[in-house]
Amino acid sequence: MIRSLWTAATGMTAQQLNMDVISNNLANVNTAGFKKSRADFQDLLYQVSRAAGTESVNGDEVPTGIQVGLGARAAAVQKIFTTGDLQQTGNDLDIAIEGNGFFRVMMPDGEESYTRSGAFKKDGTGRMVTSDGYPLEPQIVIPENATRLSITEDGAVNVYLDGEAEPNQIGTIELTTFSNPAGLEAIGRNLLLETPASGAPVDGIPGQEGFGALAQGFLEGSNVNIMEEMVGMITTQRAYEINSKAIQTSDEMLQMVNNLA
Amino acid sequence: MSSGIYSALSGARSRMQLLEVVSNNLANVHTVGFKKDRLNFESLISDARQQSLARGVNHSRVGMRYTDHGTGTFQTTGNNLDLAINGPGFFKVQTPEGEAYTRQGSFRLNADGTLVTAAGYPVVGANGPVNLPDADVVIDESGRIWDDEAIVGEIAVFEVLDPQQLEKRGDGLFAAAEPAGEARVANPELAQGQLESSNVNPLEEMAMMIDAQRNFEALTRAIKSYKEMGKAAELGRVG
Repeated sequence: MIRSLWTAATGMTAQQLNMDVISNNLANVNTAGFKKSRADFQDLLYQVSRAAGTESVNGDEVPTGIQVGLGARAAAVQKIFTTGDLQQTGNDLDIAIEGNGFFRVMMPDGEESYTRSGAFKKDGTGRMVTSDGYPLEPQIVIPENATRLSITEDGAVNVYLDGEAEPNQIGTIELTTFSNPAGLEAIGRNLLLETPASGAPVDGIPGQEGFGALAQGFLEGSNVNIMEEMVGMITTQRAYEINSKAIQTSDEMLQMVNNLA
Repeated sequence: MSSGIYSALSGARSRMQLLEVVSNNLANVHTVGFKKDRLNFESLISDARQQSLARGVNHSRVGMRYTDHGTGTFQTTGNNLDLAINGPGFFKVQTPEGEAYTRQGSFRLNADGTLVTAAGYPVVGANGPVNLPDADVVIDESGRIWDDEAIVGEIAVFEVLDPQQLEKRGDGLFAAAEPAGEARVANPELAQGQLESSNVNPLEEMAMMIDAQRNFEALTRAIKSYKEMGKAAELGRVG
């Protein structure tokens, strides 16, 4: 009896986590380069109250035993790395990646982190930095007298200096891929960190084998689909509700037992 | 005291077990690839053993649990490594306790590039573990994995002779207690970027829950009646 109370409670907990994940996806529906997450659920252990294959009274084998499951639990919250829609911004320093790969960003503590959000800015010393001021790696320093900046598909950064007709290449933007991007650890601020599960980072030139090409003047939108999340929210709510009903029913049955005395 | 009170008790106990099964189904209403469980009740004393002295005495208990292997609805995720099987059969995975089957196709790559389940168990493909260069692959209906123009692996789908012989092991896994007769499905119909939802129908479970509760109520009322009758006078055997 009590077992079904706890079983239904695991269902409610699971749906709560599902709701947390959906809420975060929805909150980031306008976050450039954001990748939605999905919670995966699995059934919990099963208690065997009658093993399959044991003999029944008249000597027959019981074909299937009785197993009672103990509920559900979250197995993983996985990031889904489908590409978001590209939005044209016209801003020289906005770059979207068409395909696989991440921008490499140097954090203040010297550690490297990775991002799909290509909304770069210029800081006081001319470096290309993220919105939080973390410089792109390898560093790109834009000279002060640059009038125009062009970034090619393969990552070459060219500037036109004041009074000069020919462009000068001041650096190359590199990309990094992982064998299992879903294993990266999200640390907020659009940044991801390498983990043992993600595999080692592989650096490369945009547009080459396995690396996406760059698109200047575009930003990659979040890959959150509002309709999808909305439907997820409704089904989650219903599942939560019906699990609470199971708890209520168990409770009412317990009450009947108590009233026996 | 009447033996009828024990009949009512056994009935009430069975309904509790039914509620436990229903609760587990409901808890897994969002578990990908989950298959709902059902219970059959049986009477403990068979008709043949009913005699004049024990007439009307009929204890019931749960006779059998079976798993409804009906297919759940498909849900499009757009994730490359999500796979659903359209038709019978299971994916096979390698666990520390041996091979197991699952319909839960939410796969991913681990750090070594091996295709694994959400719980991290390697998927057993047509030629052992499946290793992929990256997640950017195309998986066709029959399970062949294409990277550009080349086949880099193959997913296998296995059918088990009698799926009812499989035990649920948690983590979405089914395992055979004894080696089950399995056969590779020659032309499986796989759907890439889709997941098979749980086949639990909340409405159905809800009806079952109400049914179990009402039965339970009636049976506890019967027990209570016996109690009151016993209080008035020791009536002894009924029927």
